[in-house]
Amino acid sequence: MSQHGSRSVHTEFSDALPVGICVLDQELTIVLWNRTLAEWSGHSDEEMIGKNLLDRYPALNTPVYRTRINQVLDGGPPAVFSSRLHKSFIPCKKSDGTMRVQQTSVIRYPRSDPDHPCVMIIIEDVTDLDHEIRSVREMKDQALLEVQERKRAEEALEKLNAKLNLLSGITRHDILNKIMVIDGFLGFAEEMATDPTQAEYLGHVRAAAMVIQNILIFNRQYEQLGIGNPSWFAIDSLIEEIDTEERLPIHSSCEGISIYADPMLEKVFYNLYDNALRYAEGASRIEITCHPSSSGLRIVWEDDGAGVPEDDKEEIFNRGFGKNTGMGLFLVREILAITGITIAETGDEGKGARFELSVPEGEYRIGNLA
Amino acid sequence: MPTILIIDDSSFQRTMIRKALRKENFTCIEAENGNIGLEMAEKENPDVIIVDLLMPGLNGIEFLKAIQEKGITIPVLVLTSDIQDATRDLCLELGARSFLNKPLRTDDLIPAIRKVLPPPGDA
Amino acid sequence: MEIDPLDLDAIRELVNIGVGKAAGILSEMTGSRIELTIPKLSIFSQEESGQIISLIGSERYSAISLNFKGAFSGMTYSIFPAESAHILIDAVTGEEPSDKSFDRPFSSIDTETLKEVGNILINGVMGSITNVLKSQLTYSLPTYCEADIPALIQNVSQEHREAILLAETHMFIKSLDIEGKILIILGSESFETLIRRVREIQGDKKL
Repeated sequence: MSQHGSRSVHTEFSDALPVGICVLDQELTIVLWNRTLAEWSGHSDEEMIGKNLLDRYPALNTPVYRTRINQVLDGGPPAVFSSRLHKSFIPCKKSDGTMRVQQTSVIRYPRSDPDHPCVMIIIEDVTDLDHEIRSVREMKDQALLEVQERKRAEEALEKLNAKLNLLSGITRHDILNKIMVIDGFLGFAEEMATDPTQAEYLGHVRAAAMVIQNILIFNRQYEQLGIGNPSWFAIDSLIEEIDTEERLPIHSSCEGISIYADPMLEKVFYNLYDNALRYAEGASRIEITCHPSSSGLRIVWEDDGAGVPEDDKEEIFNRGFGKNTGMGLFLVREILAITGITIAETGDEGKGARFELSVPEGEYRIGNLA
Repeated sequence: MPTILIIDDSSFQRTMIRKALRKENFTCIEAENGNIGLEMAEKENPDVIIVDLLMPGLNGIEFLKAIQEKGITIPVLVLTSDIQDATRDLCLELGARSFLNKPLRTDDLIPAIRKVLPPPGDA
Repeated sequence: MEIDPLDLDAIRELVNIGVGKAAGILSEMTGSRIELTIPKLSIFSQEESGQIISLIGSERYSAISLNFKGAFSGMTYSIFPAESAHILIDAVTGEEPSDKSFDRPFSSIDTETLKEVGNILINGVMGSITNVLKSQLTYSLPTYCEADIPALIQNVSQEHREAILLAETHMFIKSLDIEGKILIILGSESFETLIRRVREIQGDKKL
């Protein structure tokens, strides 16, 4: 088993392999040290051949390694050393100075003389695989952590929301009750008033009480915004719900068109209609048309009334604008915004009001719902 | 001819030890558990005891303790499959003169026995 | 399956020696003392393999397998139920064993670890058998899988699964019970060769 000057077939073969190979005899003396292992370990085969493995690498002189190598020498099955449990069998560095993560197998190698078997140590570099597994694991753990935290935050928020809603619901309920009482007695007082000025004043007070009531009712509705999940609604169904008897007729040419919106969508059309009733002087009808395009769907709601003055076109969507609660169009804009639908008034003053709803691509469907 | 008491629950193991000892002209007596082993140690007064650790009933460790308590001074060698250092330390602390691992190697066992036997010629 | 009690005793002792060796190595890897118990050994014929299920249950095991050929041929499995597998992995990788959910699936890092532990156990047992019986075998590299007992037995080719040796072992690490089983599956000729060797070695012991 002495090393000849010329390289044997075995040596040439092992040098060609991209794994570290070391062969030991029964005394654990190194008899082969391939080129890959020489590169990785920083020790040439001339340095290593003839040396005892445990002398060169004292860390291997423990039962975990020595006993298992001897078991293989004695005729036992191959021993595997996983990268997870052993930093490295024979320390090997990469060109950037970091240590290689190794997977090592020790197999019996009978060689030419079965009475003097050897063992072959095969070292595979699994550094990249190991790093990948670790980073995937880290990402997974991080993701799980974030999900847990988010869940906790969501739960806390839900609880808080529920509390607030409950509180404001109770308060609102109490106030509305009192308003009814106020309205009731004011009504009697108005009837009983003998002085016309007094009656007029009482009328004003009553009207104010009604505004308070409407504000509270609006509040209750606004609270519902975003509570339910958005879903698909057929425009025609919602228009049909609006009671237009003896008032403005609505003509819709949006058959079969549905849009993706907050469940309060019905309020949008209802409020637009209510708005028209209140402000569209001289209007005789309402026309709704739908215009699909590459950038989405345009729904146009127009009446033939007095129209909206130029200066007011933005203002009308703000809170407090208008003779009633001033909330109608504000709510419309907010409801639509939940699913990214925008609204603008684009009519000509004097020719009628024209509201354009812009529905983004992917949030409208033409044809029957499945 | 020195007499060796073999205490092991495995008849296979007892056979293997017996064969190795007979080659050296030792006389063998056998016990299949610690209780019987203790009785025989007292009754037969062997020169050396070889004891296994993992046995039903009185195990090897308990046997070592019992021997100490009874003041029996016959040298005891432990032969066990348990190769842990902690086990070895415990046995030596309890008075075992040698701690050997299975599988049995005559090259280890025979010298260990000879070491604890009184030199030939002593009464 | 009929077997002479002396032969059964011999094989049990060989398994015992193997497990002891493995425990010594594991003890060093975990940094803890390992309490060993006497392994329980039983032998089944292929027809009786259904009895194994009634004996040890139909759950899925983490299994490390090793094929061997030579004086006798067959397959050895080292298997652990999920709970023991998790305890082992934690003990060996230095994590605190806990009663976290043992339904947690094994990551590739976990199975790597199990493969090595199973390898240590199988090598202890097979090493002990070949060493004492002085038999020459060649082996495949160990592989990992998760399966139930019938599947593991089915995995062995027909002619090599006529005798099934089942060794049940318990090791205690920090008073945690690690249940492990070793299955050695052989063809009937191989089994007979094994028994013959066991008797020969007790007869005239050749040096």
